[in-house]
Amino acid sequence: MDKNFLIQLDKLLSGMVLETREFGRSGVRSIWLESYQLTKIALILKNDSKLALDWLENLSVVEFEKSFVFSYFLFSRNFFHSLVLRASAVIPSDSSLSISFPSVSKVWEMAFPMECEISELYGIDFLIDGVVLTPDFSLLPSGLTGFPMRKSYSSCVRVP
Amino acid sequence: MSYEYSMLELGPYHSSLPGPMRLRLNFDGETVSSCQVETGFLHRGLEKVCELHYWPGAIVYIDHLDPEAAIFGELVFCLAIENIAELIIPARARAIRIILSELARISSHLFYFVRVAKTVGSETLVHYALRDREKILDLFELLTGARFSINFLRFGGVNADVTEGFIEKVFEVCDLMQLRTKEYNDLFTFNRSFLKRTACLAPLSMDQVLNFGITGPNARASGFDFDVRKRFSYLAYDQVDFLVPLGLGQAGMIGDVHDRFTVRLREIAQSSEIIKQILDNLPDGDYINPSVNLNSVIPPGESYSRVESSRGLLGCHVVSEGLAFLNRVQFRVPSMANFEIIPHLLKKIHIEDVPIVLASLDLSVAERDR
Repeated sequence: MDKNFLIQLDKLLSGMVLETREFGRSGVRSIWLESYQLTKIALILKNDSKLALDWLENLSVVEFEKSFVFSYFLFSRNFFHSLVLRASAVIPSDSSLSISFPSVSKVWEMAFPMECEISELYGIDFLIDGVVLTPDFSLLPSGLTGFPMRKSYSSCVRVP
Repeated sequence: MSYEYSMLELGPYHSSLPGPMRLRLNFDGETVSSCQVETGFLHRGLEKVCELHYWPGAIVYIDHLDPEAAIFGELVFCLAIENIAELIIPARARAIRIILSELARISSHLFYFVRVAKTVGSETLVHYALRDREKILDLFELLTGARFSINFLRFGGVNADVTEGFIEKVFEVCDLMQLRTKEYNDLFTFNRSFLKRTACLAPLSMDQVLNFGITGPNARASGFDFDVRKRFSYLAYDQVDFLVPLGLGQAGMIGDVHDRFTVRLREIAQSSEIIKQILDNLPDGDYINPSVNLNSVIPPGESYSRVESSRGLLGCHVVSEGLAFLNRVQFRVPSMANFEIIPHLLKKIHIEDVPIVLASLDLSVAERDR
């Protein structure tokens, strides 16, 4: 990883990061944040001229140990840096309840379809300025209840 | 002068649509004033299905991510797993993977020509492209046993080795494709009727490419020089010499339908060149890492891998907990961005141009819905 990139990252985000570690074996840095700081930090990362992480390549949600872990794979088109932003949210014990999480669609427009999909499949309400993001259409067939991508979704049977 | 406002709903099944999707077009006279796209009709829960199967078993389902170029789904998944498990892929296996990937790219682009040609009314190109595509599908069948869902990649390599007969046939097809691209170029690229239908139509601006995260030939036609094979080189692409075609605006505007067509035509020529270079230096050795077997368990960890599929950047995020089953596999598909751009591209387009604009984007509903 570019040293200047890491120095600038540490300078801008000091005090806002919960944990820093390597993402898998990729050599790419992954930063854990509090979810309420996500939008603010996303804006900083995008707008800073030295970081310029202006491309959200992928948004992935993983259910892990009773939490949803959100992974934002960021990329800078000008400087070719990569970064993974991570935040988590606790899964409610009642699996029929949805949870709220801040949206980054205002920062990266390409997040909108990804958040719409995740919203429906995981039962996560993405909030933009306090307003729930509403998908234009439903991915799942009408009449289907529950959130299929959650581990607790009971209609699934493991194939031996 | 008064105009009539009307609404037309196409789908979920319509001959001018790339697959099951709904398109609501609002017209101001004969010009599209706004458009809403609805997908989800082909949602099969692929990512969930992969979580319910053993690691190797998921590959069969991932074939159906993009049925027209199944190898890319398999490849990106295998690369992610191999990264977690630190599996070494033998040089020969890497070369075979590249050969299959580039053949799939050629096949996918040929089918793109079929779709574009159908909307333009050029039956000649339809038949020519399908005829040439059959040769590539025959190659897949010769090596893997299947034409589309090849189920051929394995963790640590591929399922079987290539034979001398296969290599010879691939050389023949590559030589043929290089001749054919010249033929298509001479017959169609600057054909007056084709130009009239495609020139300066629905140009994709660089701002739109960057804001919506569009990748692949659609983005390169607009001048965005980004190819995963060059930027995040994988397999042995860094050892191969090839160009990445960009849109030139030869018909009048960079990033129009014509540019999206010609970029793919030039990519076919480059893919043929890549395959020939690989075959000329095909390494000896194993076609699969001998330490891998079906009972291998993937250790805990996670990985994100990328490949350049025929439609753009295809990513795969895999999370393993060290169990026999996946915790999570998530795909970043290039078609998602292509669908988002449709309402913007179709604005102020005449009704007769709607099918060709849709065809020019190389949309995959199967990939979008998963």
